Amino acid sequence: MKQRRFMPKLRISLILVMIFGLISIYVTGWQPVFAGTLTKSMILEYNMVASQTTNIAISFTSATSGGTNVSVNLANLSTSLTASPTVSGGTCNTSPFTSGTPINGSSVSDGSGIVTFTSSVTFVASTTYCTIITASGGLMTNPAAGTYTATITAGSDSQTQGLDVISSDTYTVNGIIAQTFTMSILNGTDNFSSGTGTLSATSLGSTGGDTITVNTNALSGWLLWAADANAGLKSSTTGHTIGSVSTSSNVNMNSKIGQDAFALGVYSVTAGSATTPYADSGGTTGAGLAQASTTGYNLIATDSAPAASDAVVVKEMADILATDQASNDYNDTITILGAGSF
Amino acid sequence: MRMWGPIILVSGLLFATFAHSNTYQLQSYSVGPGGTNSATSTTYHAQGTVGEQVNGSTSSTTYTAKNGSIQAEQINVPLAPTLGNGSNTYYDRLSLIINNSGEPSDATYAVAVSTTSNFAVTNYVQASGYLGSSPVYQSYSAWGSGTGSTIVGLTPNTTYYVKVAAMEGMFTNTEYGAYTSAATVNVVITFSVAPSSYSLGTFVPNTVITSSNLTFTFVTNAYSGGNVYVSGQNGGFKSTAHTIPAISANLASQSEGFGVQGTNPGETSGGPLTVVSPYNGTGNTVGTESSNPANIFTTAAPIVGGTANANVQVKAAYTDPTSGSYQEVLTFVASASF
Repeated sequence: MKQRRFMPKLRISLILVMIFGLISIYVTGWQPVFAGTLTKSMILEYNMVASQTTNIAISFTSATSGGTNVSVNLANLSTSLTASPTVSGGTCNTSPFTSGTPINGSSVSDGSGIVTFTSSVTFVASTTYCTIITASGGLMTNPAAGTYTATITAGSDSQTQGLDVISSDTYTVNGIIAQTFTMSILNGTDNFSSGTGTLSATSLGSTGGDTITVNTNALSGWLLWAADANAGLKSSTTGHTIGSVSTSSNVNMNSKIGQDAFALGVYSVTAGSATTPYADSGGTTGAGLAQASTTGYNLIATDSAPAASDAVVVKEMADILATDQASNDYNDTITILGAGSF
Repeated sequence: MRMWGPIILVSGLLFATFAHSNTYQLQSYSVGPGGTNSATSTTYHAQGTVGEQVNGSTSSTTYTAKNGSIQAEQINVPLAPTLGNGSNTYYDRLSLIINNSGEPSDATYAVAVSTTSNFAVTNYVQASGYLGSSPVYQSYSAWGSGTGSTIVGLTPNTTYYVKVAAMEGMFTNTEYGAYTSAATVNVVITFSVAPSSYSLGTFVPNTVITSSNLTFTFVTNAYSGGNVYVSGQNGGFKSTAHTIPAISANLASQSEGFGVQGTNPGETSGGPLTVVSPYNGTGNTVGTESSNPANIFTTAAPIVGGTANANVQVKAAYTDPTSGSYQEVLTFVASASF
């Protein structure tokens, strides 16, 4: 009889417990957890070479929610990991990862080839996570070449990986850049007619200018020298030469108006500079040229660094006497030499 | 997810009610005097007979004889199921097809799994496909009918033995039938890169120089394929005086630059292996490199006989000093996504 009175109470109690439990389930959203298999799980060795040290990057997609404990079992590769590794997620949207949630690790341990840590985030099913495990000098030393397995366990999910340890994963490429120097002269002819026109005893005449382009990878840059054939503007018809000014000083050609005077000026340089005698200030100053066959070449411009299309513009300037015989064949041949300073 | 509460709640109440019903008990009435032939409580069902041949069984290595009416109530012991490893592609799962030949249509089945043929340690396939410690009985259709289902969460390179028991209501539960076995394959990833070095010799500025091809091989059975990455020691072509920087660009239109170009991806089967941007350019279009591994080749599926080439291109400017030899050490690594 006592049993009969007790059983209904027990039944009611059990039902109440059940109802309370189920309400709790509904309110908290709890659902049963089953061990699962990680998908898209990866272990990347930054160095795949046998007997060399490496750190690793890992990523995986969780199958179930709720876990925070992670272990990476590398015991098949090395049972002796470097102490105190660091687990840092950084960012998952940069290589070697493509997407995911970065996880940092705390309570990191490294016993017997297994790195364990507590994730900074609680895993959510179908979410991809990434992190990088490093240690000073490398997390571990690779074993001999061959294929090995390692296992990632995250929460209640796990997956076994394959890792290939190989004899070489590097490619060394080398080469030597050849010493080069190229120089070109734009026109080859530079006439007064393209500048100020016919020479006059009352004004300074100048050519339109010519451009010398230098390319060189010489570490100390380049140098340009100039010399001429006639030591001035010479007319074969009249036999007269409008003589060059000094080769060693910068001459203001405006001060030579009404006299015979011929000079070359470096009008502009994109890189480097003209030497002092040949610096052309506004198309009015320069220095004379010596004959290549006698005195030799004079340095007109230079640069101290490698050149990529350095452009040197030169102009010729001339003043004449009022008594100079007219002719259209006054000319000079100027030779430009260049060299790289390697 | 929160709908589970009400559903389970209803189920629980039904169970509480049915616990006191005998409407679906399989009754067996025997010849002979005395005794109750069945009894129930909230926690068990008992069936008893008097005057029958004693219930029990005898067996040898080739047969098992069952005696008594209780044994006679049992349905047929299921035949061995069919297991498969996906034509040697599954490393963490096996396909399972239950053999329901001779079984009633409303029979339910449990699947036992072990890594030894004597089932010294036995687990059971759960409804989720993973293994658990308790058997789960499901209908033939719940196990995937003739298409079958998948046992997951298994260990690579391991032979599994599987057997099935059947049940149709109470007092009909069979023993586990004959087992069959299948093995998961091992996880596979192999990778190689050759040669290990190349000299561009002496080259002139303002001209793009291309190395000969590197050759890669890549094989994996990882379900999500894998990747090949490139990284560099110097972030460009470096000498003691200058580094020609690694860039992603068409070098023909740049004053200087250094980069890597992937070419000729292919495979025997699976894959496909493809070149990843910015390494997928043609002509003098190359991709940059740095100390951080960058994905140069990828496949989203298992691949057999994967091969690819790559070359290195460099263009020096006139302003690049000639002192010493320029060099970069590229590292190519691979990983698979299991």
